[in-house]
Amino acid sequence: MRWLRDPLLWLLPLLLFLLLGMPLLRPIFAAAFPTTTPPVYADDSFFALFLFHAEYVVLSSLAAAIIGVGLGIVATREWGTEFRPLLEALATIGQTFPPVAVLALAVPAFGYGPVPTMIALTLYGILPILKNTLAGLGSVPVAVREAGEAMGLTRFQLLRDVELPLAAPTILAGIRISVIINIGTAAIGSTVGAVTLGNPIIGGLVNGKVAYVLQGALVVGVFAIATDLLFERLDRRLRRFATRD
Amino acid sequence: MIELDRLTKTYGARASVSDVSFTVEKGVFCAIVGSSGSGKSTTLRMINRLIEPSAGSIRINGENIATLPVEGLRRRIGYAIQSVGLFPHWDVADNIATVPRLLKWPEERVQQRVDELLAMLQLDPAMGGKFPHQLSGGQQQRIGVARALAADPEVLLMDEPFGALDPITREALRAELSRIHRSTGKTILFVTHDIDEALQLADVIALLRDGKLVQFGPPIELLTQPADDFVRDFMGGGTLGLKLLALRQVGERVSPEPVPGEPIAPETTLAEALSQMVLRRTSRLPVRGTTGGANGSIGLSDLIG
Repeated sequence: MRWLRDPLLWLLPLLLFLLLGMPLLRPIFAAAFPTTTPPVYADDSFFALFLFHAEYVVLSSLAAAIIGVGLGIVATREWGTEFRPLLEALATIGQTFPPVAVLALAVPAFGYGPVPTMIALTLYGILPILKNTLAGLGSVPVAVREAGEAMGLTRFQLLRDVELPLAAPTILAGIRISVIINIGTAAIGSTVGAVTLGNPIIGGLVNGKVAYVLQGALVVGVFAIATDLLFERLDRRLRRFATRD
Repeated sequence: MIELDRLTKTYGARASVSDVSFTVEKGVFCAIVGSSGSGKSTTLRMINRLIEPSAGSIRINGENIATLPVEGLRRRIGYAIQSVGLFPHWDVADNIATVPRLLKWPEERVQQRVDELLAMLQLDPAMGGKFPHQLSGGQQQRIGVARALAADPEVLLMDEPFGALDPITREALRAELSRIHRSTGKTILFVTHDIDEALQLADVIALLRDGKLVQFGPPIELLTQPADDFVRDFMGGGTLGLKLLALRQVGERVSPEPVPGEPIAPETTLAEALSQMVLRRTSRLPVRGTTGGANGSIGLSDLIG
């Protein structure tokens, strides 16, 4: 019964239940928060909010991954090494910024709505991916790269068949950090006019309805943990060549 | 045939290799010897264009390599290095198959070649499915050599390939390489700082010092006619005579006079024979007769020759 111990097996149904069956928890919330009416957030369905939320996260993370990995590759090519110090500094400085601050800065620049949210998410999401791409490509042993070159691999083949596969676990770790941060930050997008799982949280905070805050936070939290576990599984698959048996 | 013609590599004002010329005939095992910083690795790496020369040229079978497409050139040249550099995410079979696959051999022929090479390097056929980190250092280097030989290259370049191995493994791999060289007739250029390794393996030695070629010739010539004191010292100084003995076999000096005792093989080197004389406290050793012939013997004075 080993598979029963896999937390993902419990978390995915739990997420689905929270998205579709939140109204079923009405008696619990009614008992805990008797002054809140209705006791369960009902302005939008949690499932619809989740779909919007997930869409922002997926699109922004995808864009961040393409840009982050792309910049990382450029900076580690022979002709692109001049960009490396600049990009490394940017990635490091950028990460000391809280993600909320990025969102706050996006509003004056891009206005309200889902677009500024996604731009902010993308920009912030690039940083950990870029940093890890640089680290991952940088950790490919010199001897391995030299051997590949000496065997007659073209530069493209060396990148595709040797460097990227070896850097993949590190790059994936960067994408994982980026996606998890984005799941949390996207919720704050509700403050700038995007429809996300942050709607019940922000609405609850504004109107003093703690039950809504709790319901929204619960869904975002389970979403983030389930996603993290999915990445962990992917990571184990990528690293299988490096594990001793 | 590999011709190095006034080969020079400068980094800024410093010449790492300067004006080096020598020719290695087809099928010859050439050791490039020198101390650290003598430019031996740089010289080797210019042959597969991992480094581009600042001046001079290299011709392989008469073709100037600077005019050839670099990837195509490298796929024709085997390359093995001390740190091996196996691809850690590929299993042993895929590692060996690197160049044949780049050359788009049919998959059937690739598999056949991998099996052939595992056998040639005396490795278990089941090893093909293992990953590099599961192997010992000696096994990894055998795979490294197999990968270098995979596409049956005309030329094999080796940069201190056995330098990081323990003495017993190193000795086994040297013997293996010697056997492969005899059976395949490849032209081999082998960089080492270990003069004994060079003497044991090479047909010709190129001795470098500060980027310049000091002497080029068969081992016996470097031992008996060193160009200068540096060569003499590098070849062993006071122990030069012993190195000379290590190049010759007992079989060449045996006399028919029989003596009692455990006979030594005629392939034993004269150096080992001398060692046996010291150990056995005798000046004459019995030698096993070749192919059923009567036992002979070798005396201390025969060693001097």
